[in-house]
Amino acid sequence: MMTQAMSAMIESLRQRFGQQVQSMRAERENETYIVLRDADIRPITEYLRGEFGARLVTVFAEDRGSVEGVFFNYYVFEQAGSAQYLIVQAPVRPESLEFPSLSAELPAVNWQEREIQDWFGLTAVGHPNPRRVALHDNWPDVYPLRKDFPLETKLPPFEGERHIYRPALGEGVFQVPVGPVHAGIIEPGHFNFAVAGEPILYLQLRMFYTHKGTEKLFEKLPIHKAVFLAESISGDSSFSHGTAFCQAIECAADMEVPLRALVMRTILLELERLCNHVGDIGAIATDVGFVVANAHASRLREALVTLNERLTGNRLLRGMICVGGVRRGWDQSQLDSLRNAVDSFASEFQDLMSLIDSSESTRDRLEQTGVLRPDKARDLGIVGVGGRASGVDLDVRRDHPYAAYSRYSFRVPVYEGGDVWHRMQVRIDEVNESIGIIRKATAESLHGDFRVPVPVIPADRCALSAVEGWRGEIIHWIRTGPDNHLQRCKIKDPSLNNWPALVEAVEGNIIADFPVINKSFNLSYSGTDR
Amino acid sequence: MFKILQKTLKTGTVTVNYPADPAEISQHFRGRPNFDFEKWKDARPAAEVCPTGAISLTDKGDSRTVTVDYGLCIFCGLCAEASSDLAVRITQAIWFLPRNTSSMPTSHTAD
Repeated sequence: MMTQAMSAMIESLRQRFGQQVQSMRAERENETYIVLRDADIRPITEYLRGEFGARLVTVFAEDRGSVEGVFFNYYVFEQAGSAQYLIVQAPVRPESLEFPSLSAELPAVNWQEREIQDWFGLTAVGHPNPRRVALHDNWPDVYPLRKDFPLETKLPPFEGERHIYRPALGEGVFQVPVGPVHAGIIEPGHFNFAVAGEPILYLQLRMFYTHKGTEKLFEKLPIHKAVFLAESISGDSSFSHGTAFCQAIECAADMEVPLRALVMRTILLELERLCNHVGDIGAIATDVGFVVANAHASRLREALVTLNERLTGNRLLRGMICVGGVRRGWDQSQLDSLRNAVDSFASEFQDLMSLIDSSESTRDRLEQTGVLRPDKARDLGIVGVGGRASGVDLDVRRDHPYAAYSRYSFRVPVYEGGDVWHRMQVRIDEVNESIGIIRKATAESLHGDFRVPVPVIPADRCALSAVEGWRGEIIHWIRTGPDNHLQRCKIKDPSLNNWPALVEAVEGNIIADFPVINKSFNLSYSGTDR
Repeated sequence: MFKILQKTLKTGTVTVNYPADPAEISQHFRGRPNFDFEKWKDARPAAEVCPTGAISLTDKGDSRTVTVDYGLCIFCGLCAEASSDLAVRITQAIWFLPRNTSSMPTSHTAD
């Protein structure tokens, strides 16, 4: 329901910027669109943020050339205390393909505006760092998300690129390049450190090595197949991304998902959170030498993925989400397994915490390491676990409830410390809250359908969907097309917001602490790069 | 130190003696789908629904060739859901890695 504050904000906006507003529509209960006549988004953004404390969630583009004659940028706003999203749609200047950049005042959208530049060939005027980020330097001048760029395009072979990093100069200063090939089984990303002895002076990081053209592929696949693509955006968040995608389709098709399915989705989303949080706690311990703790954490995680296999047929919950619900129901023995596994996990987790607490050397390594100051976290638009450890009080489950979350009460842990210790503490608290949510959800007696049939999905419907993945805020925005296909699918993984935080967090730390700092954020390469 | 030892002793051994003992795989696990080509009346629904195109059909005159490429299979199980007879069965089979993906496809031609 639109809160008073949100409707007051929208009304205020219309009055103040009436000349600029071409049209307004409430697409659905929690999604209002305001279409502008021109590209001038800056005064509106300043007004919404300044007067109403609104937060700019994401910005993305769409090629509406053949239909409306222009590209559009979409600016998604939210306001604390309201479940509403306000989407301001601004046309990109048709002759020059330019739009005003917000990045100088809002570093949070730095990469997002550059992504628009790289994939659509538009220009963010006034961007403080307009270099390519989402396509590497050796790509030819192509704009893959434009409608006139076919998915099947075969580009000529590339030359190896030589990306120029900013030099860091001084007596005794040298560069340590790490990656893109890493020592562990992780995806490629490059970290270029400037160090003087052990302490890190400056970090430049480079992502998008695994750019696969996912958003373009979404425009080709029929929707029921695209669900599997959504699951593969970030493999450890397959259920969260899959849910975000299905929710968007269900909104567009005005489908009501049965309660039993919503409760099951909630349980599975929390199981995904548990698996990853306990795995990360173990990994943080191992990065500072406490391998025994990691052995136990891995054992706990293994028990959970075994449960996942029993509940969904897959250790990482793949193939379970579908448009209209979930693909299978649970019999009594599966429900018993679920209850027993969660009880056993809860008790073992207490033991693990007690083990970690007993190690003062571990605590010493983690405290004051990798501090991300709350003011920097806020300016950079950091979300999720990394944000909450640095005072950013956001959680989609509470702020824009989805699935069955509005039925269960739970705490959202927020700290100001911003170091590795606090990022671990957020995970510990969230594990305990997740156990509580799962218990409350399984206590509900689930009868009825776990899935409803999917109607023909109407064309040209827009829908926004948000999920609090275990890393943070996931956003999917779609525009449906004819014949059960999509015209546009924009994905914002929380990692897209959070990578720049690493630059701030490592400053002044020793290079040997980089692995644990990186692990304490645990960001997705694939989710960012798409 | 004592806490660590205490916990280790209490936990005991959790690893299983695979392959001497069988792997503990749930009956709900989605492993390799098995195709009974003789019994399969109509492969078209499965081919249509397969998200990756692992199941493909070619018709030549009166005969139809169904090709299953396990290299493309993502074990989603939609093929079994789409086939009304039991020609497609999801098994719990996990070990069937070939030397390279080109030795994956299985074809069957029927009239």
